[in-house]
Amino acid sequence: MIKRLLVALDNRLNAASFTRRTLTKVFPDHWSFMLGEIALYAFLMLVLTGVFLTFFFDASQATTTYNGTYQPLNGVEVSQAFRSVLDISFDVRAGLVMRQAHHWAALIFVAAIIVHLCRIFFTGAFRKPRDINWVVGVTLLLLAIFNGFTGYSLPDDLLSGIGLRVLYSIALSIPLVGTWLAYLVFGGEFPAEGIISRLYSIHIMIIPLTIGAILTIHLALVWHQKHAQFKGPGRTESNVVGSRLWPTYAVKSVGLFFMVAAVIMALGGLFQINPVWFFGPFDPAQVTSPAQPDWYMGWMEGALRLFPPWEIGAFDHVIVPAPFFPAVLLPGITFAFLYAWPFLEAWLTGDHDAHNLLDRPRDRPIRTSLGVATLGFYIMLLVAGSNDLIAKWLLVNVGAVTNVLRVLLFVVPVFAGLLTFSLLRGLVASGARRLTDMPASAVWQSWKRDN
Amino acid sequence: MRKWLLLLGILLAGCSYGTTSAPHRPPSDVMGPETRGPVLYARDCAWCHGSNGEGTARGPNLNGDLDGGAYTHFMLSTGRMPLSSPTARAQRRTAVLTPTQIDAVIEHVKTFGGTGPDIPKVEPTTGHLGTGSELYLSNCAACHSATGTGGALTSRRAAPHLTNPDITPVQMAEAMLVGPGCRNNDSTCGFGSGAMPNFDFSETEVNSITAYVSYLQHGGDHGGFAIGRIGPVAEGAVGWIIGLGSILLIGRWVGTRMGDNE
Ligand code: HEC
Ligand code: HEC
Repeated sequence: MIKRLLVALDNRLNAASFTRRTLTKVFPDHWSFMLGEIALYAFLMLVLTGVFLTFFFDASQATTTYNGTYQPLNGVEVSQAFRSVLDISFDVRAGLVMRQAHHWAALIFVAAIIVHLCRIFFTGAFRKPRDINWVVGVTLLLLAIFNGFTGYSLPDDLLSGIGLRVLYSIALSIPLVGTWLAYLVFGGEFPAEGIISRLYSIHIMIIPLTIGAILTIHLALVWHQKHAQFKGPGRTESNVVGSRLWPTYAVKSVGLFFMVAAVIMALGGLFQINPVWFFGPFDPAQVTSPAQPDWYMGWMEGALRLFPPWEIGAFDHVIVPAPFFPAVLLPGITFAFLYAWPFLEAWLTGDHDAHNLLDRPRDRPIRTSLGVATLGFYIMLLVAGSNDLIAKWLLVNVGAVTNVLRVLLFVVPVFAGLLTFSLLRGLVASGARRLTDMPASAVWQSWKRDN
Repeated sequence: MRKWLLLLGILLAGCSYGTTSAPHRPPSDVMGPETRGPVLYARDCAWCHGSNGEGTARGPNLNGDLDGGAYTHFMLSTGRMPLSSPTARAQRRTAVLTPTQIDAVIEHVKTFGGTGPDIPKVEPTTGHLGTGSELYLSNCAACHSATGTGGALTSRRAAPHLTNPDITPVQMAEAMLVGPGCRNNDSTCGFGSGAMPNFDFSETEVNSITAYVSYLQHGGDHGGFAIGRIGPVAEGAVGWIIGLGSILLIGRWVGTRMGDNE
């Protein structure tokens, strides 16, 4: 009976050969090729936990008197949004675990994208023909960061309100269109009524659907262009050596999903994240410190803290307010470079060929060193986002910490880049398989040989 | 028998002082209350605060409009005073003086003419948590953090974490009354200037705030390990190291085939 049905389907859809082709498709094996999958599964977990949260979240900013399980806020005027988050945390069964797992999944999602991006970068997988998929991937990163920020702002607690206020002043700082843009996004002067419900539809519909669509393109391109592989015996520019989708790869991948899900749920159950009940409802007159954004916005926060308060003015008017340079220009340049890198590199090296075999990081010492230096720069910005915590821990002046970080912001990347370059040269010169097998003198000798 | 106990007391007092500062220690606990205060003050405080509380280059005066019972009790019972050296940071530690000695010194400091408040009476149990949380968030969270973990000020000083269970409700109320720290802008501040503002709360408000701070001290974490309650910085670290870190270890294990040694 089932067989008859299948045959009937096959006659019409030619499904058997499609399925056979699909199931026997070969993927190369290397653990680092799982990084993108981890991001994918973190996204899946975001959707699953997020759907649960939408059942209980209320995006209204109408005020109400809180009267629930959480004693210390009893009788306090809060928005419906904040109330519903307290309810999720204290009254909905498994609500707190889901809320926390959702937040942890977001942190891991962006982190996994970054590590995946590094893998692609350092192995040259972004080169033609996959340059187009690199562009798609960078778009996904941008959307992921943006959706993280909108989610962070939804609970309408003190910390998220502080974040929104920063965003508002950043929008205002854009020359010419700033005021208009800020009003367009916020629907009025900060703190505007209704911003939460706007962010909510962006957060749960517009961006996730866009991510879903672009993700499909991303995966379809991987499928169609076939996965790049490392050099090795029997591996050429025109074949793929590895495991078949069915059963090997599929089983591994499903296993990976369950493990990602397990880690995220375990974090949700074991580690407290964003305890909004401490922060209380947003009140424009209140502040709390330390106040940091989630890590994927931390580098922008760091840039805001490190950048001197320069403004461009004329005729007693501020034309370009201070936040513009660190919070609009820097991210703009960052993503412009990210998007352009494959084409920039092809132009710089004159290598316009298609590549299906990957580089090892040591094969391209200049690219690798540049990448490490760039990472160093952004890590220093991220560190600068917590300059007040550093000052507190070291018992020094915040201003002193800021000045030291301003210097380190440029010293660390240069140093990290040069160090990487020397190590890679030593590695190549000594022929060692790994960094740990390389004799320390190899670095020195590789430099001597040049002179 | 009495004599032996007395001797033991002298010895113990001598030992405990030997570890804290100067060698010449009068057996203060066995003196009468009238002489104990002035003697202790002369020994432990006068070289920085002046023999009549007029202040020296090493420490501020103790006869200003905030000085009195509350401020002195706060400074002594939190172990901030006596400071060990003029440039040391006045920070919380186990009290150096015993409660009896503290009372005696307070009585003596009060004779200097400071017009600050006396030791307040606090009843956190009569306070209202909701009012307390609102007052705390609008008056204290900017420095001490909404979660009570404390934070940096612009100077070298930091607002300490209030989750420390050693802070008593009386000390909380005293801190609100006088605003501890150092407001001067010279060497008298030793470690550097910077202070908490002093507040003018009603008794019920003080009770509510102390109730809420006590709540922050003893509970409030509902989602598992609190990871320092410092927010996104610690969360980011956990997300990367424990979250992505363990997934990567697993991925590495899943992604490597048996006998695959690349
Ligand atoms: C080594 C010097 C030193 C010694 C000894 C010392 N203090 Fe202080 N005291 C200071 C300094 C410096 C401050 C400023 C507070 C700060 O830095 O936080 C201060 C502040 C105070 C204050 C707050 C006064 C205000 O108006 O700001 C009181 C009260 C006080 N001390 C009492 C005492 C008492 C009582 C003793 C003796 C048991 C004592 N101190 C011993 C240096 C000293
Ligand atoms: C301007 C920042 C600031 C504000 C606002 C502030 N504090 Fe403080 N607080 C401080 C500083 C700084 C200290 C440490 C003073 C010192 O050096 O001794 C402190 C000390 C304390 C202490 C003593 C802690 C200990 O470990 O001994 C308590 C209790 C306290 N504050 C409670 C409060 C309460 C309650 C409020 C709100 C009503 C508040 N503070 C508002 C800055 C602040």
